[in-house]
Amino acid sequence: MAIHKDLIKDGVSTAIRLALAVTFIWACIHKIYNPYEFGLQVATYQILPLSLVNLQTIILPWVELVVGLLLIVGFLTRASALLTCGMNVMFIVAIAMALAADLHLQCGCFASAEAGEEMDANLIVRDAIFLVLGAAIVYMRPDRFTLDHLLARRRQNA
Amino acid sequence: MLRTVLVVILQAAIVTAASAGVAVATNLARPDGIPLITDVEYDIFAPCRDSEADSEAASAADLLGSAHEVVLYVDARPIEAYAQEHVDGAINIPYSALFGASEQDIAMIKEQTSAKKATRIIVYGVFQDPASPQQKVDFAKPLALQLVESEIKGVKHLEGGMEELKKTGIKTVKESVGAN
Repeated sequence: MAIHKDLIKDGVSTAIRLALAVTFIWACIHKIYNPYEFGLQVATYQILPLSLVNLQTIILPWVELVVGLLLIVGFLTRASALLTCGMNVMFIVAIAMALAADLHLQCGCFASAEAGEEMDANLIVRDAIFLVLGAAIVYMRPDRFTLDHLLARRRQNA
Repeated sequence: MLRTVLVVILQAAIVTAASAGVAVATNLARPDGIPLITDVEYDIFAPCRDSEADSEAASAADLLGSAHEVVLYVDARPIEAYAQEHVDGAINIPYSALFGASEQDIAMIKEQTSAKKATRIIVYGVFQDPASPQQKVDFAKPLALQLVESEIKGVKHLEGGMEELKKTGIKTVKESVGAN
């Protein structure tokens, strides 16, 4: 019975991990391919000083990509999930600030400005859900389908 | 437990630093890379949302039903029309179709509202230009909208202008060039 419970728990953990991974990898592709366009979107939020806009533009998508890949293979799983939480907090704050300033813009989350989603409070709800999912991965021990789990078992056997 | 948390945070920092390194290196290598730090402003365009503010229309008959309210009348017509005849106690904010009302005018309405403890602001403004008697212009709604957008509460615009108000027996003042 306990084995069944563990299997279900690991299955849920794996599903959340992969969902987060796919989301973050999907989100970074357009940003990496179109740095100027993404920079324009970052600048449009009018939160960061100009000197930091490009750094954010260059680094953020790669953090999303690396975190997504690490979540897929399950290496440094908790750290990667913690980073997704950090990024989601950042996105929520940015969207809330843009909404508070009544800026009429696209969120720039997954696609170009032209094809992007219109900014509204639903985006905050969506990112809050991702935040909770990320926090769940941080809280749970890495599931049996992760590289972390495999390495931990090897260390135990050694 | 604390050790685990610290290890996770340290790992997260390492992942971030490594990602940043890869990001910067890739950006430097690619032909369409962007400068790490720019001093050239992005050509941003983020219009404010369309105003959802609206002004409520009031008929003269409605106003009779709100006799218990302290009303501030705002005359949106040009100063000449106001000077000829206006509601007793009304203040004149000549509305410009091109520029709207000025900030000073809005500030004055706020001041008067507060001074008179007005709970209702009625804007009227049907204006008949003597140069073209067939044409009537109503400045009440655009001015009322501007007041609503300026977060002034209790604003209504009067349909039909001062003539409708006069039918209710409201006192008007003629040929007054009184200060607005």
